[in-house]
Amino acid sequence: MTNLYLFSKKIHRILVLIIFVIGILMGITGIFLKYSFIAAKFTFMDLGLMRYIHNNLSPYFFIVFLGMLITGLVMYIFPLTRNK
Amino acid sequence: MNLKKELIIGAIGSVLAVLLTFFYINQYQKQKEQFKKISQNETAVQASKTSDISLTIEEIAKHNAANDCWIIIQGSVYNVTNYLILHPGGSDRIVPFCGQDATDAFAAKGGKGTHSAQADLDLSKLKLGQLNEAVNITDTNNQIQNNVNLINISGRAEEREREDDD
Repeated sequence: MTNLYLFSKKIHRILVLIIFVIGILMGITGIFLKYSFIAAKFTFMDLGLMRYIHNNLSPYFFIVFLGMLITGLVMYIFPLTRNK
Repeated sequence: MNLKKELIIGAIGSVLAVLLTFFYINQYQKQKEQFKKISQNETAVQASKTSDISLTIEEIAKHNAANDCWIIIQGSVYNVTNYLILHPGGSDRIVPFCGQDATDAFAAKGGKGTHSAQADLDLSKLKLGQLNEAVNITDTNNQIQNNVNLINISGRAEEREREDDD
C-alpha cells in the first residue's frame, strides 16, 4: 500500500505539470469559444482554429485528468487508512 | 525516482502537449487550404453552368419570409427555407434574419456562444453561392433540398431534441 501511495505521488507530480499546460490551452480556447464577443475584438483570432484545438486536446486533457483523479484519490485515502 | 527526474518527465510531457497543439494548428491550416481549393473549384464549376440569377443584396432581400428564406453569412448566400423546421434553436431564431446578413447572429449564436462543427457542416450544405455570384437557381435549390433531406435522415433531429432537453 505504501508503494502504491509513493508511486501515485510521483505520477501525480508528473501529471500536474502536463495538465497545467493542457489546462491553460483548453481554458483559453474554451473562453474564446464560450464568449465569442471577446474573440471578435481580436481580428487575428480564428474561432474555427480555437474549436479545432479545443476539440483535439480534450481527449488528452481527459486522460491526464483521469490519471490525476485516480492518483489523487489514492493519496487522499492512504493517510486515512494509516490513522486507523 | 527523485524530484528532478519527475520534473524532467513532466517538462517533456508539457513540451509534447505544446508540440501537439502546434501540430493541430498546422493540420487545421492544411484542412482550411483544402476546403478553400474545393470551394474555388465548386465556384468555377457553378460559374460555367447556365446562370439564371445573380445573388445581389437586392435579390436576397426579396427572400425575407419563413416560406422563402435566404440569408447571408460571411459573404455566402444560403437558402435555409427547408432547414427552418430542423433548426435546434427553433425557426424563430432564423426568420428575423431572412433576406438579411446574419453573420453576427450565426457567429455569436444569438449571444450564447458559437455553433458546433456539425452546424457549420449543415450550413455548408445549404449554400446557394457567393454574394454577387450568378447561379443556376433551379439546380442549386434541388441540391439544397436533397441535402436538407439527408440532414433530416441522418438523425440530427433526434440529436437536437437531446440538446434542447439539456
